[in-house]
Amino acid sequence: MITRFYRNTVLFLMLLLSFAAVASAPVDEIRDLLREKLMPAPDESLLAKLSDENLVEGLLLLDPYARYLKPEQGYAILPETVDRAGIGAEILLQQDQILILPYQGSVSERAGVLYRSQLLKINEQPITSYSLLELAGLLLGEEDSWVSLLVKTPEQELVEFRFQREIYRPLHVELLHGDQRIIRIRNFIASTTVPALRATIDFLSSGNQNSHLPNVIIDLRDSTGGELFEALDLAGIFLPASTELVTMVNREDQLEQFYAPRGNKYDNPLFILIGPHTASAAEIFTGVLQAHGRAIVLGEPSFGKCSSQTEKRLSNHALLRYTNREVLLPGGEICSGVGITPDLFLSSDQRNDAEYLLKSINQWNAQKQH
Amino acid sequence: MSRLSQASVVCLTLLLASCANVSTDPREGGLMGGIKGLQTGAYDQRVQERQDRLSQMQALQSNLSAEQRQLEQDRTASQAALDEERRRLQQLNNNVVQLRQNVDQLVREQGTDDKKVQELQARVQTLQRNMQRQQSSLDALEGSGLGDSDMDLRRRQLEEQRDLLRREYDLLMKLSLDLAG
Repeated sequence: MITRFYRNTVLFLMLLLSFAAVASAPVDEIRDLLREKLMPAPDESLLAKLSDENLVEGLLLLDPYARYLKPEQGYAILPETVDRAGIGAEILLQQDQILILPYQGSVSERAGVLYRSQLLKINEQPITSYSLLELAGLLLGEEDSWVSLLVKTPEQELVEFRFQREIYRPLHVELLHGDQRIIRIRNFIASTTVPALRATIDFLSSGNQNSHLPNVIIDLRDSTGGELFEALDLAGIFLPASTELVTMVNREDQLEQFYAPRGNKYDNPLFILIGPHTASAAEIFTGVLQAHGRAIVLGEPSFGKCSSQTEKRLSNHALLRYTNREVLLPGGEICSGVGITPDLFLSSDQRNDAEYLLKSINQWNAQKQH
Repeated sequence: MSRLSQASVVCLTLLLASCANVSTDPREGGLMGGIKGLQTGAYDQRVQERQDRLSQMQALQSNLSAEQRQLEQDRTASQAALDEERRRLQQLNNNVVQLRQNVDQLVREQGTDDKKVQELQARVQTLQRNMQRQQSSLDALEGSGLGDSDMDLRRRQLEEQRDLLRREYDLLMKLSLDLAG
């Protein structure tokens, strides 16, 4: 299983990490497991330095995607399972800026906070001295309590908002407003994202007045991954049954190939928007569809992390997550360290401009028809 | 010209002058205006204009009422769909609880050493967790603050997800029957 990629330091992952590595861990058991299974094979001197005290840092030196989760932290904390009131948004640390990514229909979105606005103040306090976790604490609170935000919009305008916190369950697949609607997937969640996307495409098609199938435009700019098999299943709904999806390689160079399953398929023209933060399962999903010529990819090259992680329950019931396989795209193409190259390059500003994006897609379609 | 004749000319002049400025708007009325309006047909025209405007307003009102009825019908249909989804989820939940009992019985009979039984038990537990999540998401839908369209989308997503859970249940039920047989 590929875990959600941590580099972007998304709020909920930070919450999860905050609980890790406090209780005593079975270090010898972890060493043995990594010695036998970690891909690539670990450095023995780093294994020897691993201790209960430096477990988080030590694991990261061995494998940047490794995690130790205490028994009570065995299941990932997803936004939908956090029943605390807040602003209904993810916060993201990116290039020393805290960005707000409101969920569709959340209180912050309804108040008018624009996606990717830079957070400057919470309750009139500048946020510069706070960690991401502390900021999360300031944004969460009692239901109906008031919070004020000062933000800088993507158009560099300073705007102040004041609204009441709400308990919010985000849509699993969001649908952005506009004439041609853009589907946003933030995370690939097992047994959840595929049905949510199917429902969303059906929802779009039900309102379609044209004789031709509507474009499906998927925004993966802020998708840092999730469940690999969910991403593969999702790619499979756009490809004929038995089409090659990926090949996984383990430490012993054993290959395992995966193919698209049978089932209801979608023939809609498909466009995928990526950026430098698109990673892991999200870029594998993109790479598979691009390799088969099924999707046109727009944006900037993706991050380039296509390894796969697994989870092992330890004797103390904690979970150890570590890299055990490399994922190759159709035709054996390597993605790790390379990323997915878009068919049409769009700069950051162009990607953030929905009108420009839709115009680019229409131009692409027009050129294809010629 | 006698004084009487002079006065008549003045009166007639005044009368004609006033006629030239008489409004044809029936609301402004007046004897002269009425006479002039009736003579020129402007009165009928104004009445017709008023009637046209009234008809337009009635049509607008009718459209608004139809929209209102449509919105109410949509809301009723949406609530009915939500109630139906609750009913289906509850039914599936009952089935999963029954399946869990069957599998626990299977474990008691065949022991926990059987790998297939172990796997089945683990998958049923996962299904139960997913059912709880599904129930919780459905509960949160009402009063979620989502607009009608977003709420409709969310409900459709939950329906598809429940359908996937039902397929997993069907598969596990079949596996449990195979193992019991």
